[in-house]
Amino acid sequence: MLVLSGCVTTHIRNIEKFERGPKPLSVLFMPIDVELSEQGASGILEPKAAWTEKAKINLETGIKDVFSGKKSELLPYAEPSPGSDNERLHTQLIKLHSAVGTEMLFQSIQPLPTKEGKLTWTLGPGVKKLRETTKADYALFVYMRDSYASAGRAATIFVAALVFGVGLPGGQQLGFASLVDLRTGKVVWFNRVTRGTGDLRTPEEAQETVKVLMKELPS
Amino acid sequence: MKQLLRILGCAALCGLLTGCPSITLVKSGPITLQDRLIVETTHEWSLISGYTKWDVLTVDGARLQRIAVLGGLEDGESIFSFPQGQKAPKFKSSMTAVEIAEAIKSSMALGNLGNFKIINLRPYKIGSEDGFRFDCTYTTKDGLDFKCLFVGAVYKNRLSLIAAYGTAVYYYDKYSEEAERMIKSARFI
Amino acid sequence: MTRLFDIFSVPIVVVCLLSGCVTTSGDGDIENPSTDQIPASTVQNLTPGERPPLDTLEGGLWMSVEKIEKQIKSSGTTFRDKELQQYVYKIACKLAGDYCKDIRVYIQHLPLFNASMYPNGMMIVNTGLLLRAHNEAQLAAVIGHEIAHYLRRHGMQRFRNTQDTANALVIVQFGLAAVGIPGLGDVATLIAMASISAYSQDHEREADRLGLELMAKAGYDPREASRIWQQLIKERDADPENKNRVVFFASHPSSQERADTLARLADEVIKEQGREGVTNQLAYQKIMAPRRTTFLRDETQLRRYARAHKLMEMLADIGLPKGELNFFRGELHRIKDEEAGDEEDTSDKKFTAALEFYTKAIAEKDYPPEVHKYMGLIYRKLKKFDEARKAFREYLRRAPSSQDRLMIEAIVNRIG
Repeated sequence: MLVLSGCVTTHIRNIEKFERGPKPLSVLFMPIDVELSEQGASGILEPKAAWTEKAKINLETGIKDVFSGKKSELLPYAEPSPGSDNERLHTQLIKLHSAVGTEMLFQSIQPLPTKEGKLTWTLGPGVKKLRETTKADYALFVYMRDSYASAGRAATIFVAALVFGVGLPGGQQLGFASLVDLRTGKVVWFNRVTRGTGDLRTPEEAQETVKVLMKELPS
Repeated sequence: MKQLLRILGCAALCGLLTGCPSITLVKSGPITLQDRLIVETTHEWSLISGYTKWDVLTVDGARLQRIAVLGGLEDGESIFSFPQGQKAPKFKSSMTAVEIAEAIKSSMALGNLGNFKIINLRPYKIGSEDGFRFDCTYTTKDGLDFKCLFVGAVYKNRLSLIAAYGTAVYYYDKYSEEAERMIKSARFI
Repeated sequence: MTRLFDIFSVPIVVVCLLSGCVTTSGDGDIENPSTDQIPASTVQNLTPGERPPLDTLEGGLWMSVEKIEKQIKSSGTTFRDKELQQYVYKIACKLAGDYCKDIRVYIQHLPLFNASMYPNGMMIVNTGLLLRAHNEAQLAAVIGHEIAHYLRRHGMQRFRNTQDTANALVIVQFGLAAVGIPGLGDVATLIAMASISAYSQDHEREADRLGLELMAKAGYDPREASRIWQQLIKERDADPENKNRVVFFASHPSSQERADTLARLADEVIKEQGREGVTNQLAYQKIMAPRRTTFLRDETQLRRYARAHKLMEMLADIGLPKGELNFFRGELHRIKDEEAGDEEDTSDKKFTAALEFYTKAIAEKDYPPEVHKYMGLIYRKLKKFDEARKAFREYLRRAPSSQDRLMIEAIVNRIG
């Protein structure tokens, strides 16, 4: 069932070394995109609720901890008023990041020659709206999935039909995080985590994941 | 875990429909697609073929933006690749543009894109062949908004389609001019 | 390849989620061989407004499901229709009584018959269900059943049991993903699917009973619960492919037996309550009327011809507008004939059935203007060009701002 031909594992060069000045960064902490439900072919929602919600809380705590030891500031995100244009745009930006990050993730499996081995992606200038209420220079976006959900999702886009995911047993995690420059929309830092072990429901193990995820985060 | 990632990625991308895709770099200039259409482009693309019956061109990744081309679909064949055993809308050479557009909409609905909307279906020529064109919008089940457009024509009893998709925020607009150029330049072989 | 679970030929899907229950038709209710340890009767009912502490198992589940709601709100499959959503919400509220403020309702734009409720009070109703309920009482029956599960915390019980089975979720995922994929129809998967997919029979019985009581208390006729299941059975039985159903799922003697039990229980409840209750058919039809075209179109697109015909026949029998129904029955024939391979093509007969239905449709006072468009397309195929032109022009006259106006005009011009 697992057809491996036609896929490569390559090393991708990281994004150009992130240059930051002497000023500490101000980073807007965007709501983490954690997959909590998977819509099967029949249209029925399957919440993986408690598992991933615990994970989310632990991840958020872990990330805040990472920043507490640094000079850079992690700013809280304020929800725009429900139904406003801003709400729609913010939501779209978060979802756009998830799609962008997925593309970046897949670069190491199925590299796009047009990217020339580099991770040059952007969310577009629309991110400037995120600066309006916060004055943050950057935004931190985080995405976490259970592995099999990711596989299913990745395949979906190619055909304009829901593609049935291939499941893998166990609790592998797959996630990524980006630092986005709110002045341009460019992704200036990106890291991914894939783990075969580690239970995000427990704070200690989530902390492990956060360490990997936040490794070399410029601050 | 690179191993795992590779398995995941490969499993996700291969074996489900038609096989494992090949990705090649296509340089600017004329591109022949599906042995049926030639389009002119002003920059490079990554060409993904072999995954479904369509050829897909992308720069930033198919999840964000893509130009998809289907050439020479025969009478009785489904427009999109669906898993075996699923009743998929088919092309019939007796169809008008109205029915083809509806078959496309039906296909989208079967793929859980029930919100796929067709806007302004109108006549349009591909090269010198009479065809059609429409704009469209949809939102994926993850809630990401997309814009798109389709042009198509039945040439020698076979259906050819060119579709451009992109996220409503940023990516559709980024490539819309180039997509327009490519569509205007399209010719049947 | 054995299609072990062809979702698209079963309009009613059986899945009971790990942390939410789903109401589906009886067509394959799956028994849980490892029944829940906690006896139903000892579980305290939820108290209104109750929210368990966050660090408890239940609390965690509660909060996480709230995040799903956010996702649902922005999902592409949510049916955005404030008036409709409010209507369904009001019914849920009536049934839930004191628990009304704990409940939220979302409508999903999906053609399959389905309703599900989560332990935190979030309810999902599919448009496929709204199409199939004949009246408000029938909708209340399905919603009431879900609310009963919720009140009795059946979701939590199931969740507790399955939480330790780390692979359980994967298997559900795997199971659904197995549709159409060769090589995955092995017995192990079937068993795995069965073991985690359903509430216990005790839970189902409890929810049926309590659901009926809730219905009756809210003033609805509890006999409608049995009726909606009967309707679903009729629809399912209309499908000739039904015979080939995988035995594992089909052998469960659920559907008819359940419908009979519900009918019997309903009579008991009526005796207890001392009144029959209402169906509110008029109010239901009034609100569904403008939406039904969309729902019927969704159903038509599925291409399950036999079932769809049966469904539309039953809707015509209860007095729903024949113009619309005959149009869509015509559509079912047109699409089927259009997509039929050439071996089946007997040109004389082709499209005859479609035209017959369209003709019936336009004999009514009200019908969708598209009928003329499709008649035009068929006449054109049959080379009856005068009729084609006439039909197209009538369509354009009735639907001047349609999205395919320019294309139809071009087609008319080409006919000359």
